[in-house]
Amino acid sequence: MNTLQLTTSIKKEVWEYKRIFVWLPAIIASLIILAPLIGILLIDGSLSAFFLNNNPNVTWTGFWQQIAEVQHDKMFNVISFSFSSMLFVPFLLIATLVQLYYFIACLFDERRDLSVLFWRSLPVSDGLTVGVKLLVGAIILPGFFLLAATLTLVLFLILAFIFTVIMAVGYDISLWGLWGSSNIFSHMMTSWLNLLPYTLWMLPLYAWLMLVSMFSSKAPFLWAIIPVIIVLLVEAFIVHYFNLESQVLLGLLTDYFSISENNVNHYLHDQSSISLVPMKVISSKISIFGITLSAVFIYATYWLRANRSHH
Amino acid sequence: MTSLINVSNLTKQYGEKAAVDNVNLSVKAGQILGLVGPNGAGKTTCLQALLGLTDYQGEVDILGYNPKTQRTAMLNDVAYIADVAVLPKWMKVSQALEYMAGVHPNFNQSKAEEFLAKTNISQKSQIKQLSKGMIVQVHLALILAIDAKVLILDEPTLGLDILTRRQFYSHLLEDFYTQEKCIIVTTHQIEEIEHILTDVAFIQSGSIVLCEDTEHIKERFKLVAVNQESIEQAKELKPIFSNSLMGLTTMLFDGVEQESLSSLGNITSPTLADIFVGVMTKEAC
Repeated sequence: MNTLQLTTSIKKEVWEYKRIFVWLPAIIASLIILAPLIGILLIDGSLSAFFLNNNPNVTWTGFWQQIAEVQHDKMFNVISFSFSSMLFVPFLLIATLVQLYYFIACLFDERRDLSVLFWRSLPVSDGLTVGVKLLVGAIILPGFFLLAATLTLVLFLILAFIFTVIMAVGYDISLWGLWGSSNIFSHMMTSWLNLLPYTLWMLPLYAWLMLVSMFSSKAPFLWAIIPVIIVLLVEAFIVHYFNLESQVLLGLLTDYFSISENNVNHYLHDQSSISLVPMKVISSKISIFGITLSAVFIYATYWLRANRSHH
Repeated sequence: MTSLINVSNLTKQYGEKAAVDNVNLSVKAGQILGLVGPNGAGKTTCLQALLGLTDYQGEVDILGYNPKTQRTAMLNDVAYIADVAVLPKWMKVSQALEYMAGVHPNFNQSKAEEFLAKTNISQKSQIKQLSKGMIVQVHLALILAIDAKVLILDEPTLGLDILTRRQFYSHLLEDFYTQEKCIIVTTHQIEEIEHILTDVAFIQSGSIVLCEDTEHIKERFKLVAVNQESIEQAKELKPIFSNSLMGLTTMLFDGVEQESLSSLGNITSPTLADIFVGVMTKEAC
């Protein structure tokens, strides 16, 4: 493997799935940018009129004066974290759906259109191909969505900066302290850093979908869910028939993929480090068993691509 | 001549059935070998084994590489066209060129671009926008631009019109073939490539039933338009194939001396297609 082969193989994946890699994040970003503007246009009158109508006892400048007085409060850290989370969440939700689609399609499509025979006629190892597809689906694809979310946030920050300058110059209200107390850049950074533990947490799912994508001759989506449903039904039957206490596999699956309130509350004790909470919660979900299972699935995927006849 | 491909006792089993059965082959530099057989004879399986695309028993050596364990390294020097329809439909021609330049150490992008410049194919076109003939030209441009020592073609012109088929093989000879390289090609249309083959191997039910150079094979087999009165005499010489049509009986003989045949009728050199039909239907005679 050399670097040029690696980068070219990554580029190939991006070309193939350009619509979902590039255009989808761009469309979501456009909607998020346009939505507040449309909201303002739909509200009868200006934003200030809207604010004053809802707060008749406070003037516009008075409101910002009050904000300026408490701008170093830790509360703004939580507000900015909530704001950046709300901004990132739609991107990450859609990225997750797209990731599931990508993993199901990535090794199935090339077999369906027989292009696998072209790819395998070139000096690119099956290990590199499977590795690149995993890297692209797990890191690079959500990376595109995170980049779009970050750029959207940066646009909002530019608007916020202009607003801060106007307030300082035009109204003599300094809101510069908000920039420090909101820790917005740190929140942005941790959203990116969350990607790694999130990937490790979801790795068994990704690896399973890749295996299904490689294994199935038809309907990979059904192959992805039906075996799991069958196993759970068989387990449910056994539990019912022998009057056992609970379904172990179902419990393991739901435990692994769910985040309970307890998980969050365990780490939610300090407002100043609130941005680290998702990372701590997600990291707590990673398990050696999950990683080992992923490794087995990935090796099986590689083995099938290398040894299965594709003609 | 250096031997570039050596195959000994190649066998591929699918359950009880042997798709390829104990095949032995040797291809030297400068040879163009036609691997010819009816549908399901094991041609593609044989080529897949050579390329390490399927598991097999026996020994295969291509340019000193073992295709099972050194497939990726081997493909630096071995080019392969599996089928005309395998280029990815979503890809643009320019992307195919960029991809090949990125992953193949022996790919010469400007050579491929020069080839494409002679056609009416735009590099901005997507593969799915091109006609079947154009897709073949793109595939050929990609393969001919590889400085490979071995070229393996599996039914490369299947489903193409005669003009495109002829164009394909003429480019192959002009732009790829040299005395230092070898080509293996499987095809049904043997009559179209007969003139370019140096060697031919007939495969039937997974076994090689005939493997000769084309010069020798034409000396070995004789086609005789047998006179009516000599038919019984001709049958005694055990023709491998006999055909009576509109009162004219033609018989194909394997390894019978010309002197013995001259009294039977008019002797001609059979085409490879005649020999193929004769060898494949031997038991029918």
